[in-house]
Amino acid sequence: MNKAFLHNSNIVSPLGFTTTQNFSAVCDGKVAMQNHVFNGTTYFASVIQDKLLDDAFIQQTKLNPKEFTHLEKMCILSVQDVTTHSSINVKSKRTLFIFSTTKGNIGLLENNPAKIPKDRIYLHKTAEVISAYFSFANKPMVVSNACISGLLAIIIAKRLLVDNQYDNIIVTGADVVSTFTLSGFNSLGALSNVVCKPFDKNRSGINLGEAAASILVSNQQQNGVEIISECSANDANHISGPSRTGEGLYKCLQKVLANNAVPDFINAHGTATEFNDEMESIAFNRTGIQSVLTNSLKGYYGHTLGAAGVLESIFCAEGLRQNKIIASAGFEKQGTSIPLNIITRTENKESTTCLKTASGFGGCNAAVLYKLN
Amino acid sequence: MSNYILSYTKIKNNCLWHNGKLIIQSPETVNYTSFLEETYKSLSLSYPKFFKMDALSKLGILCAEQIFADENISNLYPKEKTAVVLSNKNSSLQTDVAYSKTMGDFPSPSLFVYTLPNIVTGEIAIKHQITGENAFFIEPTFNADLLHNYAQLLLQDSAAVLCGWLNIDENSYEGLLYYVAKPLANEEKKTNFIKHNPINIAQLYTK
Amino acid sequence: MENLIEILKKQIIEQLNLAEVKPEDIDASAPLFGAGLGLDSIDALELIVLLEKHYGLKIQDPKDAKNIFQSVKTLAEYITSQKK
Repeated sequence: MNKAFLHNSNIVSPLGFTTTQNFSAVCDGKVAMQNHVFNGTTYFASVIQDKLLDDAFIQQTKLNPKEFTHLEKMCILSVQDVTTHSSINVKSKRTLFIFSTTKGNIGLLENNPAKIPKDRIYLHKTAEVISAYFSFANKPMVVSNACISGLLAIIIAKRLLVDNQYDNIIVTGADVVSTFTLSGFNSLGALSNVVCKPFDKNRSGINLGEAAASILVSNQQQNGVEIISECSANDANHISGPSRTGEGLYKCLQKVLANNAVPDFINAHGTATEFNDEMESIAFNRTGIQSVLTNSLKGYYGHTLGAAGVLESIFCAEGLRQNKIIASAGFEKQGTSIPLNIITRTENKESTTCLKTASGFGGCNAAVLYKLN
Repeated sequence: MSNYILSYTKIKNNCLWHNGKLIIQSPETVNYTSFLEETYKSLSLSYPKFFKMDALSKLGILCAEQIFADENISNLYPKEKTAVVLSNKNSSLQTDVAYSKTMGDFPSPSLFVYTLPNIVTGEIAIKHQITGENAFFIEPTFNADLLHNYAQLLLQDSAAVLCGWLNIDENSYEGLLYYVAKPLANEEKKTNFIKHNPINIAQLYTK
Repeated sequence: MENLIEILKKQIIEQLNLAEVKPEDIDASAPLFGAGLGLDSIDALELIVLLEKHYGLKIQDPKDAKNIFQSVKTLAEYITSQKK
């Protein structure tokens, strides 16, 4: 039976335009969030400077940056880095591109100074624009399932590979920060105006962040990090708040960690809202993994929505490869009713397996177990 | 052993069909917001949350209602092993536009929570306690191959999958939900079951 | 105050999309959350918007919201107290 493995990756974010740059920045404790003004209001968020992005875009593609949206430029750069550094045949029918995003080019609803065609508001159109640059043989698959989108896209890739439908799948997760999402999360009282503090006693909400993250998921074993098990499940409880007892996530964990497997470390969803972090601590406790070294990366990047599952999975894979566990930025004091074993220092540690979790609006949850070969 | 479509509901042109039978019909001149609320009343649903939902979620809830009202489905197939795989072209665009209009003065939290396509999955899950796998795909047009392919993969582990296409446009809408499962031993003989394959799925959409 | 309570009932029904509820169905002293109207956390946020939109009142600390939104009567009392 075929298996599925994580291979080359890329992260385009305010902390760098390659995985190496991003991993290094995070190990140095750099944080992507800053104060930014959107439509006259100051928000604490993680945003890629237009000029930096455009310069890199022109250099890498020789295309006119005015013909593409901020999101599309991020994605094209990201996918290009992966395709350039892998030996896959991009134009093969056995290669698929899966695009994960929650809001796509939502900024086009507010303003469109470059006069980008209106149909780019459609997520499939954005995927087609990215796909066209690489001349992928297959139409792109587009996954939009709230904040589990990125992890779900990796899960779907795994299932397609195990079923021998493809050899190589490039999964790209991306979202941009916009007045739309900032004002929306603000109306929910979910935004923090300082660096977010996942799992901390004084956590007060999320920071939004933008990023494009791409990963090659392939049936090739060599140098790959294996996707051992995966699951998604719905809480069936509330459309915007998690189940207080973590029903959906617990269900995922039972499946993914069958036979009482205990991962060496956990990269949690850890958004720094009161309810998400509390729910994760309860789900972990119900599964008996509350003592496993745990972190969230959202203290470095903010919540990157459709990119989160991919970006954070890349960090899981690199952590396994480079024998590194990363401090959970923003954490100072235990803040969940079940205390977790939050990583407080970035340091060397040999690990073989890592659990990645994600949860999102609509009551969705997902979990994946990764294993170093 | 084949998988079968055991039940399907279609809402289009102000008509609601269940398993190919016309159940509700309204004049085409009625706007879809009114039609969805009239249909709620015609089905005698007692679910006040319905009125807080956006059009996409209302459409999904109405399509799902007839399917889960069938006792054979509700009682025989475990809801904790039922997946929901939905798709559309517009994501939550109509609601996105509605929310963006409130952004200037008083951003509406109750609109914002519906600005994701998979919220309809959540609403169906809550009403019927469906806690299995989820996926929401965005496609330019109804894609029977995609839905068939992914449902087949899920059915290796899931007992059933609720699949479909729910799309809201500025002045029109389309809703198709169908329930796929491996028939249980005593159910195999039911002649109204449809074999689960892309051609049959495409026919449900175009009929 | 009585008039304000009646106006508030209509505004609440509109803001929260309580389509099947009539003003006479709402008991001004009964709890808004939990049983009865079955309002949830999103409704609470919309009530904050209602206060700002119709009365120009901004709740500084979300924790105050619980007491203010206890019932239509407490909400009316809060609005009246702020107008002084």
